[in-house]
Amino acid sequence: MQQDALLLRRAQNGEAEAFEELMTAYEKRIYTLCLRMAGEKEDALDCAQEAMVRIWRSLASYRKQASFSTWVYRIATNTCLDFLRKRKVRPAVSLDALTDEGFSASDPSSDPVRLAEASARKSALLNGIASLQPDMRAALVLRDVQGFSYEEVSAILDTPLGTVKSRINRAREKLRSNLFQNAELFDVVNVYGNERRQDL
Amino acid sequence: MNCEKFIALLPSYPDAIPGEKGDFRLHAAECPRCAARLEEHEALLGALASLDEKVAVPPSFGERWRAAIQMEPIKPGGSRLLRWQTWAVAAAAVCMVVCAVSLLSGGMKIPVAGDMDKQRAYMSLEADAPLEKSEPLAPPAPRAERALGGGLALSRRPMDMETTQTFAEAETKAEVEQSPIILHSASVTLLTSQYDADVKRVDDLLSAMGGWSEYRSVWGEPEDGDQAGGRYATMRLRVPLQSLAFFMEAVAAIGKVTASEMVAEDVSDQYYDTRGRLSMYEAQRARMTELLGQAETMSDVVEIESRLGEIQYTIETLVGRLNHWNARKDNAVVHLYVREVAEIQMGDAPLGQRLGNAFRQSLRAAWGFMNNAAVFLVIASPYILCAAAAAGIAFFIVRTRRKRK
Repeated sequence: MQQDALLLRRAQNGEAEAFEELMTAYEKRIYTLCLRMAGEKEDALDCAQEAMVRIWRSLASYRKQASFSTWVYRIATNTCLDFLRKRKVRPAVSLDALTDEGFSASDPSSDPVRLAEASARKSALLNGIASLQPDMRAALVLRDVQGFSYEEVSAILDTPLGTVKSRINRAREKLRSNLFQNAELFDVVNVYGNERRQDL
Repeated sequence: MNCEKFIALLPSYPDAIPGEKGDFRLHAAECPRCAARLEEHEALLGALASLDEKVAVPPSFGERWRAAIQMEPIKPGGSRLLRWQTWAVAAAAVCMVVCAVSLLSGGMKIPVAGDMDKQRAYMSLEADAPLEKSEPLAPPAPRAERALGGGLALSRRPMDMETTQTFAEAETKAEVEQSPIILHSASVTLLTSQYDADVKRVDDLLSAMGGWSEYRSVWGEPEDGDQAGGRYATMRLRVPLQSLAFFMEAVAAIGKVTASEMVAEDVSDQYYDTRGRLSMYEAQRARMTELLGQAETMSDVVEIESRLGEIQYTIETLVGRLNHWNARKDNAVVHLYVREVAEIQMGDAPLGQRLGNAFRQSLRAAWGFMNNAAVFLVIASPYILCAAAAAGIAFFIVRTRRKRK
């Protein structure tokens, strides 16, 4: 922690090397956050780079009101939300995006059927996330994908805890309803689909 | 727990329902349909949690952002700013200490009654040519800075603040160009032997500077030769920042200054933090307004409007705070304490005169004490009489008993 504090102080003094060292710990999480928010690899790269530059530019204004990590993820999330607001049109998740995330159709060590299922499952999930509204998506990604606590999500989004809970619940609900047609991909019974069919 | 409640709570499982986790699990064990729902929910959470497990950060990302910040022409200026502020405050503190030492050792001339004629001539000259608010006051300012410890050097900092309406647009610019926000305040304690005339001079001076009085209270009675008498006025004045130096110097010339203080409070951190928060809330408001247009169900509309209301309230609070600081930074607060005395003591009076003054003061004090003691005796006389009667009765009883023995 003291090492981080020292790096932070040096970075605030304008030392780019200290900033690079400091941000190494956050690099992957910022990229994956941007990837989940933006959906596409190229967009995620642009967002993540923009977030890094914004953090660098704003480092002087960081006054330890929140923890440094919260502050960093807040800037990254806001960068993604700004990007989504400008983009507006939601692209479907491409096969490239899946390939970038470790999926390989030609992996000889894997069962082709299982690989195809995994691919379909991931694709459905990513499309489901991409279909969420930006605020809900941010809350869901931070909580369920990135693993932040509700309180941390509330601090990162600078949003009341109750609103965060509401957004996460609604995002999960929407995601589940988007995915229920492919419930078999998750090896569970499609309860809601069966109920709907029974109602019909 | 029934199925309806189970379904309602399911989206927030497992983290938001700690108190009901047992009931929740119990119901799932009893109801196969809810057990399946729970399984589906857990599968979804599991899938989400493992989504990033195999993601590798492209090497190009690290290369790109590192190159971007190396080429970034704008370096963080906060630390330099802090360092500069620290040095400025330290320099101001040193100046204050030096001036205080000079004052104590008599190295700096204190305006006293002997100088009053000259000072009033100066004041009347100013009254003949009243100052306009926009008139530059460059000549007197350096003198005031020297006289008051250089604290006003901070007021020379540039202040290019935008209005609150343009905060959101200027956010990025503001991150780079953050002028320090300094709130100036001062306090002066004056002794005067011509209370009414001197208070009027302060009012005229304040009016000429374009300032105003926020608060004023006076107590006590006019000085009539009694050392303990005299009026005491407390004033809170607002003086335009560009006129503060001259105002302080001119006020010091009106009477004898027994104490003065200048404070420059740096609220840049709070100001820019608030402004950043405001920009963020404005962006949120824009997003929420956009979402409101896209809302499909009434519950969405209600929730968004509720959130919009919260955001609007927060924005108004933050704007109010910024407006307060903006008003404060342009107009310094001056606390002026005016004490009426019979005569202003001369700092360099001869020994004989000082001894005479001291003896007269002592006689006045002794006379005052005797007067007060007489009044006290009159007030306390009923109690004293009662106590004396009780003591007399007790003495009589004791003496009677001794005689019987």
